[in-house]
Amino acid sequence: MSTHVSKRWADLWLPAAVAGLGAVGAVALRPLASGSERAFLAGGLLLAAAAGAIVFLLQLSRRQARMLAETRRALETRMLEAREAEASLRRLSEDLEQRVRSRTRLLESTMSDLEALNFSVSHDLRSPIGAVLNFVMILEEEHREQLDASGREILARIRASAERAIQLLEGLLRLSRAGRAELTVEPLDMTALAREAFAQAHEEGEVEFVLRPLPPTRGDRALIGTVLVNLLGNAIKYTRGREKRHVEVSGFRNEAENVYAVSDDGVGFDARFASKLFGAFERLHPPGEFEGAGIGLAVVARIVLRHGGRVWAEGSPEQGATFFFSLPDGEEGP
Amino acid sequence: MTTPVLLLIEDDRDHVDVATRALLRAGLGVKVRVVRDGKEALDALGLDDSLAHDGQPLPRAVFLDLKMPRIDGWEVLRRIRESPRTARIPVVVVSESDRPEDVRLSYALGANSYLLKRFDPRGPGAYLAEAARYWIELNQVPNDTEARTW
Repeated sequence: MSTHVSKRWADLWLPAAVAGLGAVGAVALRPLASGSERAFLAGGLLLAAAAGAIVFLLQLSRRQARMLAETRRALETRMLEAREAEASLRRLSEDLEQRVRSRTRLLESTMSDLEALNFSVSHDLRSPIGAVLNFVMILEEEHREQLDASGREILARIRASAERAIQLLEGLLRLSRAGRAELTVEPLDMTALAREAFAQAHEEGEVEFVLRPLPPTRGDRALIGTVLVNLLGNAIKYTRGREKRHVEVSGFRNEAENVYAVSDDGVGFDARFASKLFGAFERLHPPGEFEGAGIGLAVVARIVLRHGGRVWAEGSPEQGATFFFSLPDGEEGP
Repeated sequence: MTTPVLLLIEDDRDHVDVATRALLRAGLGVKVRVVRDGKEALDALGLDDSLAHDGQPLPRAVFLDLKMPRIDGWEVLRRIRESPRTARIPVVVVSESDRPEDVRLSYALGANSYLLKRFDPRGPGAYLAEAARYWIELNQVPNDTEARTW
């Protein structure tokens, strides 16, 4: 700041000197001057002042030009810096993208390894456990008389466990197929699909089905059909024992996605366990109260995630439940 | 008339036990002949060149496993179809594999049917009895090939 001020005074020094010298000259000659000469002197004085002013202005403009040039240089430097920063930012983000891509590839290959393992384990386990069940059934049929009541009881327990194991393995295979199936993406009339799914999921009892108009979307027909059948099957299952059973499907468009909701007024669930709902073999109700292997919602989540969508649920005990899933809207889908 | 034979080609003992029991209990009036691998199967069908015909009847149907030691099910199938004498015998593949390429190859080689090994809650091997009933009682094969016995 101080240099700036002193510079300004330095700039004034030369014009002041010129003007002062002129003025001193004029005043020194003044006593010799006649009337007309006095006018001449006054003119000289003015001239000196003008010369000083001109010198001042010249200097000012030179300084201005210098400042301008400086500013330009500074600006250019800044621009260069900005361009460099931009380039390095681009390099950084490219690097980051590259890393994300390679990590994603790694994750995908790990996932598919896991899928393959899941598939082959559940596939290969099915045959020996099936053999156990077959032989238990043969024993029950052909050697029943040789067994006493406790022997028959044990046989029945072996059979129940083996049946449960087979059911779990079938569930795992279903889950694995949902994760491995090739996606054939096409436009989907979700309203029609939901109607078909209800007909397929509804097995017994009177259930009121409310179907709101659903936004169309894109996806794999068979897999999204499975999503709806599983969600509606669950909704119907968990309204069992209610006086009036009521299941509803609705949907709406929300920014870049279509959201669908399957609601029921059944037993509901404790919201604290909402995050557990979509895991494989997670059951919030004791087995026996409601049948099933606890795999339906895991299959739903797997399919929706593979479509680039999301799943979530809302509910509270005895207040019913609503299961949501979203599918990305438009062509940029999977 | 000789009792028709169903040839079961299968190396898994558990499966053999369940299958023969189911096939015999189905009351189809068939004899079930079991061979434990592809090599034995070719012998039993007279498709092994080194063996003379032994006068055994050709099977009315073949139930064929795919994964077997030495000679696998596809090779057996190929040889069955290659020989005019056995070309028309109904072959039902019974396999653990539901891989589309395995199913496709089996049909390409001339399988008549492809069954997935499963646990059948209706009873041990009930689905095999069902298939056998179709191929032995309901299905007709032309009689224009060589005699059924050799």
